[in-house]
Amino acid sequence: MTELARLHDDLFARMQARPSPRWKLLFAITGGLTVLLFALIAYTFATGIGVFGTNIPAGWAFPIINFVYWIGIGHAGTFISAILFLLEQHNWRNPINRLTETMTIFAVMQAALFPVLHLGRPWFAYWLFPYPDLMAVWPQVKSALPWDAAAVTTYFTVSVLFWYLGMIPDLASVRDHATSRARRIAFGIAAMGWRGSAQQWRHWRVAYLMLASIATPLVISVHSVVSSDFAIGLTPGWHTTLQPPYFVAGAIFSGFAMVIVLAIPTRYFFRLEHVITDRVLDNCAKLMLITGLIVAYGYLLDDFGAYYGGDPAERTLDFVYHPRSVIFWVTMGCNVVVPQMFWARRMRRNRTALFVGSLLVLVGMWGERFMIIVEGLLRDHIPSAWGTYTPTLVDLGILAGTFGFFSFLYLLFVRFVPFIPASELKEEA
Amino acid sequence: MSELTRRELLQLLGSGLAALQAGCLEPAGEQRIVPYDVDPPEQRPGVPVRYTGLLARDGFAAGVLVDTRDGRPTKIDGNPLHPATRGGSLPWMQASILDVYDPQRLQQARLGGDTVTWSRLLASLRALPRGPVWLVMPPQTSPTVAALLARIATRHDLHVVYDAPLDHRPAYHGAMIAYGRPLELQVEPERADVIAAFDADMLAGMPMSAAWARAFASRRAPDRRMSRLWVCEPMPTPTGSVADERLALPARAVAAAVTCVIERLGELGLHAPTLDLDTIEAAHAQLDPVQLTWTRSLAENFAERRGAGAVVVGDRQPPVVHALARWIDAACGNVGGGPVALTEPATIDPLGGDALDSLVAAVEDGRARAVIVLDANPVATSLHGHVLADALAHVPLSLHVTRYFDETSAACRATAPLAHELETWTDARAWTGAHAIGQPAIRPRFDVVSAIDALAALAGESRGARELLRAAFPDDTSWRAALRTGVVADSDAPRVAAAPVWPDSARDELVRTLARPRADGIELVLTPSLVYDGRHAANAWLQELPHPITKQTWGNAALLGPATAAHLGVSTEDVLHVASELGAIELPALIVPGMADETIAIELGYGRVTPAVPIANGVGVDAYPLRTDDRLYFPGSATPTGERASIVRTQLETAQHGRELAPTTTLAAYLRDSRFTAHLRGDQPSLLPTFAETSRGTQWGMSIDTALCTGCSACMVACQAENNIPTVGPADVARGRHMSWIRIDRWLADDGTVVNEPMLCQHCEHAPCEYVCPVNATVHGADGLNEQVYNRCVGTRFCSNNCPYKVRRFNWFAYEHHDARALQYNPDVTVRSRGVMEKCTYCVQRIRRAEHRALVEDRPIAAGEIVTACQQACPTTAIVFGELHEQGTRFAAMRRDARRFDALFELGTRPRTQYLAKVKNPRSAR
Repeated sequence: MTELARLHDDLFARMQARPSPRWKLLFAITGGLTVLLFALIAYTFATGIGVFGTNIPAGWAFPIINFVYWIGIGHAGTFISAILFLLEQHNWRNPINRLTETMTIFAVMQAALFPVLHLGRPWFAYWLFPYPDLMAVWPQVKSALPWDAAAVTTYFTVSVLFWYLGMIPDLASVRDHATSRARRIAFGIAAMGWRGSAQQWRHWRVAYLMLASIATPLVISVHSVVSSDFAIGLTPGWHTTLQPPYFVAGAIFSGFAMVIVLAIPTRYFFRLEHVITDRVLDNCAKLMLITGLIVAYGYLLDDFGAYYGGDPAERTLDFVYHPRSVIFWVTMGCNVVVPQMFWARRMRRNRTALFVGSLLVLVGMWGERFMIIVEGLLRDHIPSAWGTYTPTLVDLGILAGTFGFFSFLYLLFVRFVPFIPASELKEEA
Repeated sequence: MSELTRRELLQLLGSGLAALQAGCLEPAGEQRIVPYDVDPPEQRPGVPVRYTGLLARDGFAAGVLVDTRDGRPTKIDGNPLHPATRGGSLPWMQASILDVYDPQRLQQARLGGDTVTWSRLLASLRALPRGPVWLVMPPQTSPTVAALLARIATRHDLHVVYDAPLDHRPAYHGAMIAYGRPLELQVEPERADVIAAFDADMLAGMPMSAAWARAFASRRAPDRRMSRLWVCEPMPTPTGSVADERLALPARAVAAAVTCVIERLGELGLHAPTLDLDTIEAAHAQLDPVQLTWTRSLAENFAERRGAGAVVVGDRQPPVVHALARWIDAACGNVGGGPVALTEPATIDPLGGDALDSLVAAVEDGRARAVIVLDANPVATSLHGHVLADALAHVPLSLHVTRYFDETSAACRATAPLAHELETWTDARAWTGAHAIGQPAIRPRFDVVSAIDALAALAGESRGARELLRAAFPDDTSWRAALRTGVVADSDAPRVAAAPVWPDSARDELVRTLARPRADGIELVLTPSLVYDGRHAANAWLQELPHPITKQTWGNAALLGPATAAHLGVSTEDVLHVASELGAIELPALIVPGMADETIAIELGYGRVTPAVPIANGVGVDAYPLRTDDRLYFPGSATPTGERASIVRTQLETAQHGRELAPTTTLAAYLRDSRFTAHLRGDQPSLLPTFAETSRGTQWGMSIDTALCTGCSACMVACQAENNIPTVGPADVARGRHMSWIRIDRWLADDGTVVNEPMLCQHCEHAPCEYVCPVNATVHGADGLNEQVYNRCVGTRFCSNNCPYKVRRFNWFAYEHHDARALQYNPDVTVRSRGVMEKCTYCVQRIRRAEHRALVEDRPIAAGEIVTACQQACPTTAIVFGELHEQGTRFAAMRRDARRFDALFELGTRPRTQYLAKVKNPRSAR
């Protein structure tokens, strides 16, 4: 009972406390970046997407890299909350479940900006959806982009529902412990009349299990569909059936890196080492290692395909261009070499190694997307059209802005929402 | 890019409307507005009316056809009846239409600080007191101008300076040596089995290039009649790119090469000048064994093909080289009955006129009271420009009549706007002597006059240009015929029979030329550019047009070969300090395979100082200060500065990297086995409908013969004019955002073989762009066109990513808002807005127009009735559009040609644009 009481205190006391100066500083920085992001988006809308560095041949660059990257980040969240739930890995899933689901939603929010923003005429983005239209023109479904629109919106919807449903008992708990009337009303509405009756719990469990079952295939499907944007194309480096599993593994790989990067400071600042234990992080590192190995295998297979397929464009890209590209070696270093240290239990239990290693993986996975998307375009089939690509300040500003916006939302989240699923932990205890 | 303010735009629109209402055929006078309730017979709204017109550069006429729509000229093409174009055109002709509407043009005459009207200026010219008058103008061919000059000379002490930085006079001086009088060389490449071009870009860079290119192309089918082109040049040119035998040689050594040809002809027993041993030794000393063998082989080839050869020498070469070339033709019997003939030159007073130096001296002595600079810019282009500028400032009356306020305008006391050729009555002779009248296609938008008007005023003439021109015709019938056809009947200069001589003075001159110390260092070669000598520098289309060889836009560079670059330790974009005896400039190096060793070539016309003309101002580097005398090549030096400067290019890679994009073979091999492209065409296994299933009904296609393409790029400008394609400026070109729907890929093989491959939308039957568009913005038409639906496009750019040919272009910004050319726009073509994709449509507007016409006239569309803009412009007829079921046409023959291949065949896109592979005809191949 004391254990439960302590957990209870830990989880809710901080939400009621006044924000610390450190939190305020971070809040100001990330808030500033968020403002920058939306200012740059407004500028782009007003001027035209020429403010990006995108060009011909590199018709897709930073915006699409960022899109794929952020979608990928989200994957670990769903993997943890849905797949590990179904596999009954509760003891290490539950402490980070809410945190990672939230990460998923915020990451998908970043990602969702880009398919709209990168359009030449973003105000017509809704044409990618099959909406009732007097002209009776539907999306052209041979293209992967309407699949994308469907996959990402489905993913976002299910993730939000799953996240919210899981949070209802905790929201009720916050309501019950609220110190002010305003909080009580706000959390009361958010808790949707949860009283914790046995019947409610039974319905809740069924609904949760169903949503977990729906979310599980999405972990596989979303990034598979995203990878189709490339796999169905003719562009060298894109046109391979390898893409879907490779993209999914890469997504979970980068997602776990982001989980570790978020969990380590969170548990430090909130002194939750006894909740988010070393064992939890250890398991995350193991999964990162496994998915990292799949990704490395993907690199190998890609090269093999280029060699064995004999297409001069693929061969030029893999065996002439990549070896001369800095991004390629950064990617290889971060995604293939760095994770190997997590074979050692000592490293998996070392906070610094975990944190730095995960950061490098995050860098490497961004680099990988750059490598796949941009470098293939720059070395396309017809060498006369080979080009160069340089991002603009707007590109860099928007990338920084999404990190700011993501962190901004996360900071708000840890202040106002029960970010440890207390009910599930309590249930487990 | 200059931006129009709203006010300027309104002014532009207003003047365009005025032009529209006023019509353009009637002379100035009563202003009447004609309502369209009863259409004038030749004006139908939306239907272009075609007039003949005239453009001229350094006097030589290029006859053109001008499409006007509702009173606005919108497109220029070559006049098939004019001997200098024969229906083809060159980039500068195509781009000239933009100048008509250029808001940068000088719009108001100024005297001192005051604005004046042209009528006042003309009155004061008429009343100019008798005395010394200096005229500075480009070389002239117009008989009307000649007559006016004679009349001016009776009123004034007239001095004329014929100012041309790229001077044609060395050719006339060469004729002086050989024939004792200046004669023009007339060539009929269609009748030549062998052609030699010595430092002459005869297929793209000379006044007759459009016509010569067309004639040359007629002998390039890979059969036993195929001609052979020998090119000896210091730097790669479009002509060099279609050469069968090419020799890169420093400009100074070309004289030695020609001497060795003469020597070998003598050895072969032909009647050539006997050269003494010292001369021969001096010539041999300048060539290495390979080069020597090349020249001897050329001579042998000419000797084999006696009576069927032609030698062309570029204006950069000294007179004695021209004289020797005339001797080669004479020795081989090419003149008179062969492909070569001689005529009196079209140019007035070809060797006469004063020098600019004497003008300066006259000003200093106070002997020049009035200086009129007419359509020339000597301050920027002459050897001592700043001295001339000082002098002009001290003349009581210095008047610059010019289209743009340029360097010379800044030095003159008065400036007055000159009309565009499409705005006035004008006349000129072509290189062949053919006389043509240019008629205005639009009422002038500003207060401008023509050169004829200005000269007429000076001659005290009260009649206008039209009356003066009309007076030369006996009756209305001949006058109207001349206007309708664009050329005065039977006005070619008569042929002159002349036998060359080889005087001692020529021998001495040759000895001097050959004995010119072989500089140990670098030879600098100055060369005309797409903006020629700088006169087209205000034209954004020409500034943004990729150079045919280097693909550089918006500027120039120091072009040097890989060996020279290695020797200097520089790579592309390293800044070089290039110096001659008199001047020095700094500009980035650009490595170009095919350059002569120890040669640096720099293009003229850039680095202009024209604050009033923003497009030209400060683009590139001015190379004129390097000159030491009239010559365009001279010793110099180059040292890297250690700095870097970017060069804006549209093609960075010329190697094919294992793709078979531009197969080539030799004639000998081709005649043995013609199937060298058989593996690059035909059906591939596919689940998609077969060709037979997709080709029912009318189906459009295009064939492009890479053997004919010189890379001159006229098609690119034609497409830009026809399809309302914007220019984007150097910053966006550098980012990879140029908008041309057609580009010319330059493929360079290790053996130096160049293939120019025009690359445009291939209209693939299995188009990779179509299936990836999420919104049906690019779809396939029933007639085989790959259609782009602008108002459906949301701009995902997936289509461009998936296009293996990378021919799609994207509107990154609202480019159309930056364009001052609203009046030039083709009303049949949508002006694209920001955020949409665009690309070649096969000129779908022309297809539809033909379909409508055929429908109205209740007949099928005739074979060859539809001509795309690129096809129409192409001087060599490399591009042919047609219908796949056509029979008996050239297009039908090309669709069955053994050389045909699909670009990137292995991708299975089944392009409707098919290429014919290049067959070279080198003498060495057996």
